[in-house]
Amino acid sequence: MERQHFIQELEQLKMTMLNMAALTRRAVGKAVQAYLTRDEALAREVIEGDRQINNLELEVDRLCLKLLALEQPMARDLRYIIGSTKISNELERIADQAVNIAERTQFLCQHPPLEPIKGMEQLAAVVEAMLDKAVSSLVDLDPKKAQEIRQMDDQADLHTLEVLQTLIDYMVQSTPMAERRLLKTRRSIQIIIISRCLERVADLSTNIGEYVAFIVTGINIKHQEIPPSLQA
Amino acid sequence: MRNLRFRTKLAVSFWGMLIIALCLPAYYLYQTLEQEILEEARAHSFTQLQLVSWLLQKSEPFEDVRALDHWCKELGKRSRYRITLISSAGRVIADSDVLFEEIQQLDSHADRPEVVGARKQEKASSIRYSTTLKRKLIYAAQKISLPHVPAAVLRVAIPLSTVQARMAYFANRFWMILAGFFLFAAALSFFLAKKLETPIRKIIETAGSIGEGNYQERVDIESGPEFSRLAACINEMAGRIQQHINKISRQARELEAVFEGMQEGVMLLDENGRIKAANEALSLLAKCKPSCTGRRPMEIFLNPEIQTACEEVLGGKPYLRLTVGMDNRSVYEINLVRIPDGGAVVVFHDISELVRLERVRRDFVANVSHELRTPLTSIKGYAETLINKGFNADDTAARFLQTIHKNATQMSNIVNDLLELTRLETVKQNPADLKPINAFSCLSMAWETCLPLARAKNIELINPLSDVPKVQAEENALVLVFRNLLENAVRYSPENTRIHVFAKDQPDQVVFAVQDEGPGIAREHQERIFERFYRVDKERSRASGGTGLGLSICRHAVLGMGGRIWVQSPPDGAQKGTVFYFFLKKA
Repeated sequence: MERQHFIQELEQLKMTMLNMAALTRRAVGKAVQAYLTRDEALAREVIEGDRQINNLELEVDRLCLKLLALEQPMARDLRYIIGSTKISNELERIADQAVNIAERTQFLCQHPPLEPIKGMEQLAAVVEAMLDKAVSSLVDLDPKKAQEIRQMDDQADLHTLEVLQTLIDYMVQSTPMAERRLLKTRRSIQIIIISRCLERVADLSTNIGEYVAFIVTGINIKHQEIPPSLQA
Repeated sequence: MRNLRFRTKLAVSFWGMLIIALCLPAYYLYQTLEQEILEEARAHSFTQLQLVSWLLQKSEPFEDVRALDHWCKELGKRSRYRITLISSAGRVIADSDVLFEEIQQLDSHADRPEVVGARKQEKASSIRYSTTLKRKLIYAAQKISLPHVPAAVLRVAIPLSTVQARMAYFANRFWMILAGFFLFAAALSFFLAKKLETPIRKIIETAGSIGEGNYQERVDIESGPEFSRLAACINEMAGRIQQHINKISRQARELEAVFEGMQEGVMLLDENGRIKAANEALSLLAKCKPSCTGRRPMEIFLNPEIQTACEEVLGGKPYLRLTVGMDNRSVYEINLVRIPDGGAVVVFHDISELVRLERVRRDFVANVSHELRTPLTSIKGYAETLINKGFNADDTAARFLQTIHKNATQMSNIVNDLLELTRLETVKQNPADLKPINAFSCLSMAWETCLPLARAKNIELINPLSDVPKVQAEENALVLVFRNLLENAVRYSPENTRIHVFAKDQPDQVVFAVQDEGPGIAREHQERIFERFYRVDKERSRASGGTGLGLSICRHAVLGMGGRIWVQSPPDGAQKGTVFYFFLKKA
């Protein structure tokens, strides 16, 4: 009977985690789309949806604390609970990055568009793919995805640099009117911030993959080489 | 007893019956025989007693008691009987088996049953164990009168051993025969029981085999009508089961083919909310690998709305429908139906194409209207200018100008209404944009625009809305709704009539009504009047100057503000006329 109750509570925690992961994934997708299509309404949706994700983080923390305090979980269940608090933290930070992107997008939407930035779409695609992998590793509790995500992180870094380079080149180009120059610089910096946010999402996704590996195998692979047993 | 095998039970019952049937008569027979033998022995003992008595009387007189005793001993030695002479007082006088010297020490024999009997009835007998001789004897005694000892009792004791030996021999033979019979009968009964059991066992084996799924199995026995009938019944039952199973499995295969062949994704949830079955289409759409079964909808769709809907339906809602956008821009209409015994069926219908076409249509209408508006304005403007400037034209040209102006105005109205409608359709009313609005002022504003026509037809507005509570609405939209309803009412009302507007204050909403005294709307048209360009009477409507879009605009505006609009014609308690109702939430 006791055990049954524990399983039920753990199940609830899992569902809350998945709910949070789904909403976070959606927020990032919407933010990216809002930026790419200059959709201000979509950006507003992302900002408004953040509160729900914050509430879910609190809910995950509450459930984890309750399980730890009352049920004395063991082995993998214990790791799942510990991992959940960490992953929910990362998810919440990802959602905050999405909000950040959405806010920059709102600013950009109010001004004429810049020409498409080289590398930005690729960066967004890689970051979304990484977050997808992180979420699916959480759904399937698949420890082998950690390595794949880590490999993609290098690509994301490359694209971020490319975007940065493009925008620096763009900013130093001579522009006749001072007012237009200022606006151009301001918009460029907003886009640099967006690329920076995406890069953060990539890093946080990598962390999620590593926490999942920890939950499943009990091996902490943060800041170190991935052992051969976990390589795909 | 209950757990014993049928065969054992049958054999044991047979044996029990045999024991009762054989042993009871045998025991009775044995008893009777034993009595017969004893009776014979007793009769024999009396004969011997008489003989001894005769010999004794013949041998008289004896000199003394010693001589008598001696005679007794002599006779006893020859006959192997014990001969005792007992005085009337019970004292032993002479005894063949006891030394003369010891006779005095023998205790009194007066209380011996045969002695007592002999005294009473001349002679008597008894069978008992002799403590003197330490064996069982038949005693026979009779009164005898001798010169020395008057009223004495003569007793002869014959050892029972001979009788007993006969009895034992007889009993031995008797029990042996009985045992033989019993063994034979037991073997027979065992065999019979086994034979009876064989068909039953066969039937059990076959029935068991049928139960395990071998429906081709049949019982094949030849034993008595009862078992044959039972076997026939079981065979028939097996046949029926096979038929049913075939039918059910065929149906299941057909259903599965339908299930798998469906274009819609279908999944079956068990009562715990886990996926019990999913078809090919769903597996493709959810991209679950290797299989969707056993997982929760959340895990495969990563969509909180779907999960919540599933939980609601499992929690008791009988039916639910929602539209969900999935990744790569597909839109699904999801129908969830509760299964009464627990669980739910979830059907995913891809409506992406429909949504796309709807958007294309809306865009097309919006674009066309927009493109038409500019040239129309210009036509209208020039026509107006020509008319106003008093352009030097003959009557025909002036009439043509009037026609051009009238039609351009009509067309421009239609284009404006179309644009308005498209705006209402595309821009989903944000609930946050709804504000508490005073319906009375909206109605007044709407009436302003209708006033010229109303005055021309002398139509009066009865407007008691001044104390109606505020409703959640968007001001322009509410004015639009009232204006269209009032315009319609004015347009279709005969002259010198009234238009009533009233409101019903309900717990969480306010129902508004606009009622006219016009000809009314036939029932068959009532459902369709909210469609765009639907006209009840084509000729008349066009002449009256409507665009055919007013009610369509009303419906979209009301829906956008979270209400609903409907029509009733004729109104309650009236012969003719129409009343349009719509409700809005209270602020």
